[in-house]
Amino acid sequence: MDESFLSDKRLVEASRDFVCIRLATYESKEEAEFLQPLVRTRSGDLENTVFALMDPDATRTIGRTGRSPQQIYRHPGQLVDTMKKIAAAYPGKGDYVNRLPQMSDFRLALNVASCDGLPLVVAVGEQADRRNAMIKTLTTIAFGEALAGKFHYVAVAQPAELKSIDGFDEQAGAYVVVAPDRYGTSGSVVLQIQGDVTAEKLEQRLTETSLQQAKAVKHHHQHVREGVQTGHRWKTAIPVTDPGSIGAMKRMQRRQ
Amino acid sequence: MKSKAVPFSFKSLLTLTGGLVVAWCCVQLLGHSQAQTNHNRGAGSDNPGGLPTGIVWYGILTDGLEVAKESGRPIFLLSAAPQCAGIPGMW
Repeated sequence: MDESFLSDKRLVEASRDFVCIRLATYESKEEAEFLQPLVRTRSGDLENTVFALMDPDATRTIGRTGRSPQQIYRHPGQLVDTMKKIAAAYPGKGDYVNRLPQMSDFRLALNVASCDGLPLVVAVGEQADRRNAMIKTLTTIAFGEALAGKFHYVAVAQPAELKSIDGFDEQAGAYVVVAPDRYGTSGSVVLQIQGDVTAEKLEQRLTETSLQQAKAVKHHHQHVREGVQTGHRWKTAIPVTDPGSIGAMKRMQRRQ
Repeated sequence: MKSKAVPFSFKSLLTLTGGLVVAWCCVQLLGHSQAQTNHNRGAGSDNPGGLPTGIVWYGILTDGLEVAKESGRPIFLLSAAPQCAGIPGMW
């Protein structure tokens, strides 16, 4: 995934008029069934990446779909022009949001945060109403320009899920900001705040944290080579069907 | 009538033209370098001292689809595998 394309300032601005969904391929059977028909691939199966612009009801795609935006648009400006036209046709209800842009589970969230080189905010609450209250608080601040796109989010019921995280203290607070390690299988606490903090205070603390953190940068070949050497492996929820990925995994296995 | 001597010889004209070409190339290179620098600054780096502003992604399909339907906003959909050849931490 070409992050330089997606981090283009004009594209980030244009994205505010869209509901942006980025899924983790091969991590949900239901999501794979939704994705598979969107892009016609040479293999006929779901491959690693999918890109589509869709109407608000997700009943039809708008423009060409493909493996990635840069497969269709030569530069971000072309995509931005298209997005502006689509946004004008579907003005929607402005900045309406009522859901936190969160991941489905901690393991996946930590990995995705590592892939993006961003911190992960974990709302830990054993009781559903307490957890939901924290999610609601995060929802009110996650889209503000101070924090937009700077953190990933996930809610967990069991503090034990954070056992691999250095510095986690169950008593120190229910909002836990984690800096993931290189492989997204562990991490360390960079901030912990009590669960009853106000949205204003939480936003202030997260903003301060965002200013102290830097986006982690990795080099693809070095990352994969060292990942093989150190035995880091990711088990997908459903089988990988991308022929390129299957071939790469077989080559990795042969080298070991 | 005698014709006046030309102030520049052919050789000096060549030297002057060559100099102008070199100067023009330098200006172009500097301009390109400046444009490249500006481009690099533009890529989500309005916050050079910390994390850059970025796209806010819904990571769960049903959440995103519900928000799109309720808000009437169009959908920007991507999917990528959070592992490369089975190694996590890399798209």
